[in-house]
Amino acid sequence: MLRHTIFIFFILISTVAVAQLYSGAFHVGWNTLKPLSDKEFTNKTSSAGMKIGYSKFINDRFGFGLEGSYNTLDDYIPRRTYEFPGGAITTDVYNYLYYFTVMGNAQYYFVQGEKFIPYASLGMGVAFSEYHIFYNVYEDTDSQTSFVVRPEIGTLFRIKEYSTWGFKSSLSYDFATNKSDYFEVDNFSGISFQIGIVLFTD
Amino acid sequence: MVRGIFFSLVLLSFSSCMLEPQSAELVKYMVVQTEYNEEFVNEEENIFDTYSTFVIREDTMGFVSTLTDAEYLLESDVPGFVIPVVDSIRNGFKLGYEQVTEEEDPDFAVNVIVLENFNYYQSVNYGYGYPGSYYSYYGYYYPAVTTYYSNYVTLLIQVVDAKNPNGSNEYPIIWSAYIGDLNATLDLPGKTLEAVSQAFEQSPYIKN
Repeated sequence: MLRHTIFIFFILISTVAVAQLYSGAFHVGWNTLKPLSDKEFTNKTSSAGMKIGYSKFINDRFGFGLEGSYNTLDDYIPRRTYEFPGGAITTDVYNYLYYFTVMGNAQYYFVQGEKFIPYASLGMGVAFSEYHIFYNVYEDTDSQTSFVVRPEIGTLFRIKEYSTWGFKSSLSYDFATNKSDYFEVDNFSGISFQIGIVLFTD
Repeated sequence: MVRGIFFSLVLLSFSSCMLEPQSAELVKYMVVQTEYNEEFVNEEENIFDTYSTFVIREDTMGFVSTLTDAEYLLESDVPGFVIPVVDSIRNGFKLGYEQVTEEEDPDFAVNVIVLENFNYYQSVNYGYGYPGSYYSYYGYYYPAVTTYYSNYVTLLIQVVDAKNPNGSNEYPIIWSAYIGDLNATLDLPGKTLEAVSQAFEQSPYIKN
């Protein structure tokens, strides 16, 4: 019994020791988002985006954190005539979706390698979606706030062992319950790829 | 050093937030919106089929602005614009109708007005707008504006019926074409003429 207690104690001490070596990590990265839904509005993959966040390590397996992100999705519809009851309008159209998220997340680290730290995470939070249609000097807009969930897999990469900075890459899936009746879009989803810099903190 | 790179990347990332289309690309084409009065143009009837003659002012455009008190635009005010554009509109209607003078009792009048900083695409018809006259530049009101441009200018072409005044001697507006923006375009005469042609093209109920 005593041997078991000592063993568990040393296990706990060792995980705390790892956690204390780096108690958390900031990350900021370049985010590429490919929309999987509402393709009539924006269909193009966009690299105009970023993610920034902070993760607190509980031990060498688990962590939790906060993350914010944004992406600008856009598309161009060449000049054409749209008919409506009582008339018609001819214009080319630039569709823009400004997609912001703020969420809390929990991470599971598969292994604490010397350089690679692969992980999986699940985040949930709020998505702010601003839909804009630009045509000539005119603009129509609609803003929506909704729930978003984001499963993610990725890895942290230290340049050298125990270095305070490194890199991060991840692949994630976003599902947001936003809906715009005005622009006839519903439930945004997309896949993101992120590469970024990580700054480990004591 | 590393922290410097880190925070520079943060700032750089935020700088690309809220991108918008390039202005020159946005104004490559003018927006052309046309509306017809469904009371007079519908599945049962098309009042344009009953028209034969029209009247139009040939040397001026009406001018309604929130910035000045001027009421007309002459060719000398905007050289290369007023006469060619009015001619283009007149020729568009002459394909299906005969141009006459006001004294010859026309079936409809064509009003051409430039709206500066004023009035934008309407989702409803103005209805009966000109008490006592079908041929005027007055009588506008100020609806909500939906543009982010600070000084926008719209060309408005209206067909006003001259045969069917209501009990208050008001003449119904049958057709309206809104063309914009005239201020932001890089080729005012060329793009306006292109837009006028498009206004007729997307209005097949007008004889031509």
